[in-house]
Amino acid sequence: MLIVNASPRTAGKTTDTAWLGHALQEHGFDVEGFDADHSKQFWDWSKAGKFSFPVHLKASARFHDEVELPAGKISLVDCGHSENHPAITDSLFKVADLVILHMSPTRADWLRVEKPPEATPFKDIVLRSAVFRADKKPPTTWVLLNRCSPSSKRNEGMTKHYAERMERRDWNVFTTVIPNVGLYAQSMNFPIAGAKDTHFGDLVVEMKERGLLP
Amino acid sequence: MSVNYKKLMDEEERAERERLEVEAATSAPEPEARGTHEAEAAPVAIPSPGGEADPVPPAAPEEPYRPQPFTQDLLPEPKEIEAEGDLTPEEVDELSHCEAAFGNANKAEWMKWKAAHAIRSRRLYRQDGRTWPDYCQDRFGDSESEVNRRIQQWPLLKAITEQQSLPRSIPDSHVQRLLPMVKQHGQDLTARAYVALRVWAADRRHRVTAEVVSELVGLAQAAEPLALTTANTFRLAIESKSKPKRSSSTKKEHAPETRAPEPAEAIEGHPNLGDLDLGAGFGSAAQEPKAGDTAAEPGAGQRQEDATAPFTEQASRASDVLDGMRIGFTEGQLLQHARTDTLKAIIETALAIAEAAEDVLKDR
Repeated sequence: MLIVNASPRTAGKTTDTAWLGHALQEHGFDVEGFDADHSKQFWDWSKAGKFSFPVHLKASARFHDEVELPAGKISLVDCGHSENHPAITDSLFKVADLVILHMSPTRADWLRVEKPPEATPFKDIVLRSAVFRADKKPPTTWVLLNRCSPSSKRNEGMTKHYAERMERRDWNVFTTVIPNVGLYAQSMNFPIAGAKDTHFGDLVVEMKERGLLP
Repeated sequence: MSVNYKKLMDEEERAERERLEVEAATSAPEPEARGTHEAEAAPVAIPSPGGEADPVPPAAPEEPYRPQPFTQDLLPEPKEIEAEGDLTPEEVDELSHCEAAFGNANKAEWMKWKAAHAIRSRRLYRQDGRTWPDYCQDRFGDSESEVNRRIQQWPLLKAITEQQSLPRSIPDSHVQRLLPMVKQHGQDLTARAYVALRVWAADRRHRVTAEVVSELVGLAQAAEPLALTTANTFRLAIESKSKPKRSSSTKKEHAPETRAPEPAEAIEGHPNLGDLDLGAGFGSAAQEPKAGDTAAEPGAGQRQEDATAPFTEQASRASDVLDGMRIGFTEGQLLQHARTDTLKAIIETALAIAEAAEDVLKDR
């Protein structure tokens, strides 16, 4: 299956993708990574951090046409900002089995997802891919609230506010939220271990429970 | 005093909730109906062929505020596919990316010469005492005069590019000949007149050569701005170019009343585009005068002229075709990519035609 990690702007996608990849692997899934961002940060981190799964460079608007997804594996993509790379995002959404929209519970991120000036709202990007897909339906999409205040749980403060606000607009929102802590924020280009026992491990469990994983 | 953001957000949320409730209660208009309405409201940009109305060509779609990169990975690899029927959504998407390449090419062209303009005007070429002529040669591989000529053209080239609805190629020889018109009528009107001429001519399969553009510029000298984009002006520009030159006033007075064929009928191919079909009968006996070609019974002298008139017309057409081929050779990349033997053959043929024309001219 293909999981695409996306967001309109910077939202910690690369960090989340790397940690989620490791959590999936530690849960027994066979993972293959794709870096679809010209920054090459995911790919670079995989080399510097000696990831236990391969990461391929594939920032291409022809991803859907050029990449043969490995059977029996979970392919995990770190997608560039959809605002700046709409063609790559469109290509990925044509073949994605699951889209994870990463956003922090802030007004700035919420506005960029829902009411971006001079850009397509994220939901419309998801919807417009339907016509290209085999089942003519948009890919299943879930919101992962990221960089949340460590002192604020899912049902408290701004995290609760934006989770509810997104749900009211018919978004699926994960119960698991990722706090803004040094463990994740400072891990870039270092090895990742023990992901199963972090919030990303919780996320994998929730994804399994919701039937989002094979 | 600090702002209570939480309070503002709650107010916004309350308003949003109320709006969603109203939206849910009232049915949204059918998308098809909206599309029909937009189609009906769209202005008809080009008048009917006989109309003398101002044919404002449809302008290129406005650029979005957020620029989108056009990169090579957007293009599908060329691949032979036995496809039939309507395009799939994927093919529609691929087609739009392929077509965007043409629009981007024209934009890149004027941007190139704007960049050269900036380098020259800001003296960015000056490192280590380098002069502008040296820079042109070193970095562009072109002479200073050629680069300066293209720098003069870019604002008009930009205006034309932005007014075109189709990404037609814009030969620099056309832009060069339009420059005097800019002084008199301004850039926008000049661009509009040229784009309208190209649209008008394309609809009728007329070739727009640099000479036709010169005719338009000549007509513009004495024309009011409104007349510049009329079908009549375009017809005059095209026909002035294709009309054969008469050498004596007697010929003018006694010329048969037969109407010269419309260029649309006369020129069947598009030599500018590499289509070298010179029209039915070119170089054959098919152009022999036929009975009934003239409206009135002429005298013997007139019959002699009538007999040669088709050849005169045919020669004029052949000249137009040659001119079109010349543009194709010099403005395209045909010569650069031609084989050596092809280049030699081109030289031989061109010289043979020139010598034959000079032979005839000697006796005039």
